[in-house]
Amino acid sequence: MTVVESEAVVLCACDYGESDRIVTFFSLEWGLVRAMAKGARRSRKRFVHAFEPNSVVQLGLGRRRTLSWVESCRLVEGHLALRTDPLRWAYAGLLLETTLRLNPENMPSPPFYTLLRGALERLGTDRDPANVAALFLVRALRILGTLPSLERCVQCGATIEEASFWKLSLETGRFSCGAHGAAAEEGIALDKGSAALFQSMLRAPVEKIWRFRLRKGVAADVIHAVCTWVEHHTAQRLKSRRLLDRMANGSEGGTRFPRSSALIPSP
Amino acid sequence: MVTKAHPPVLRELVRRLSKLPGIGEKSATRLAMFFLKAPEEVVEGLVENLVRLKRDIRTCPVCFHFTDGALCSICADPSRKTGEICVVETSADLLAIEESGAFKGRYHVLQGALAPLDGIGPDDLRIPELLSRLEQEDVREVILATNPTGEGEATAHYLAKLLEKSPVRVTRIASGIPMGGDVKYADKVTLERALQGRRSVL
Repeated sequence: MTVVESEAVVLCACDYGESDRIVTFFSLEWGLVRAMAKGARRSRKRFVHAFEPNSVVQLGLGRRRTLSWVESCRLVEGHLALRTDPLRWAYAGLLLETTLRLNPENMPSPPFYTLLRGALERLGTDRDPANVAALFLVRALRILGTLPSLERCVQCGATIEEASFWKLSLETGRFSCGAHGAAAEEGIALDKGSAALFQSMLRAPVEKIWRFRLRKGVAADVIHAVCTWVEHHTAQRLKSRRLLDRMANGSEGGTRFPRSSALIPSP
Repeated sequence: MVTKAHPPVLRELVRRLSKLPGIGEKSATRLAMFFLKAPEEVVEGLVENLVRLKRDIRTCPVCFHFTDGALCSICADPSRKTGEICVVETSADLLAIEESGAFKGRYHVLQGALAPLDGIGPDDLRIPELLSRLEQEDVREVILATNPTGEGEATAHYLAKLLEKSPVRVTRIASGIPMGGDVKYADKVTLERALQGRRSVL
């Protein structure tokens, strides 16, 4: 038996049998990994406070063929700020769920890990959690290789500077200028500034993307489009998205994604 | 191992018992053999109990704890009307606090906590019922006793924000090193909380 170590983010945990838990991590070394934590619900000392979703942990994993079990798990960062705001908590859920749905097991992806860790850290402090979520989702699609090139119009080859309006369709994988994509109903409508911002954000190192600020409506459109795409391709509803939608429906104006105040129902 | 040598009734019982939490086939066989040998009144008593459990137990319309009457024993007890409501996630949490004997007020069971990955939001919890209780009852303090997990903390903060402008006092149960615990095994978040919540002993 070999015991290997890596830093990881806890995605989710569920009870198994009388005293065990099955925990899903996204780790730096192995990507998405599921492991059995024997006696996790019985022992007060071994895995104390280590399997909370959103937490960054130092994970020691025992591996034999396809089986993995948690040998040790030490909390590195609890991201407590996320717990103090239900909206941030819900957005963090969306980040974890998309990570869970989009990544195959045992496929290492250090850039994705850096992105996820950075997003969770930023989500706790940034004034606009929707912006953080939108940046995460777009960059995640780029890392996974499912985002079309945003350099030129796919049809006429025009550059960003040559057109005022753009359309990004995840369904068809097209990035087109106003003249060639305007008729398409689906997709994210972008003005020249937003398209240029996306381009710069995708070129920047993963750890530095959080300084980019999307326009308010654009962030909501991006989250909506990416979530729809993820649901379509995985054939599974995103539960955290349903929660965010429900929070928004309870708010005035019916925006697609909520503001913090929208979570407090009017008396 | 249940084989064809076992009568079909016994096989069926073992199969049903092994579906219970924590019961494997061997334990289920042992239990089935016990029932086989046990006096008839023991088995009949158990069956009657199980039937009554399913038929009579419902949630209390005030606090959402389990009850077999119109109200649960705590809500029906006038001496528990102290003006304090302790908000817990589940009935199991309520029972644990009751067992400690440390709280003499009334409870409100939320029946869950905010959990984005399970799609559980504020609408799925008994929060509107808590708000209407605060309007109808003479409440001066709400104690948020949700678990100190991510979900429990998020729920407590949501409720605290919700009750920010109400005239009731909103408090949160303390967190830190458990009694009989060991400082060297505590994680850094627990230690941080324990030090933040320290108090004078003199």
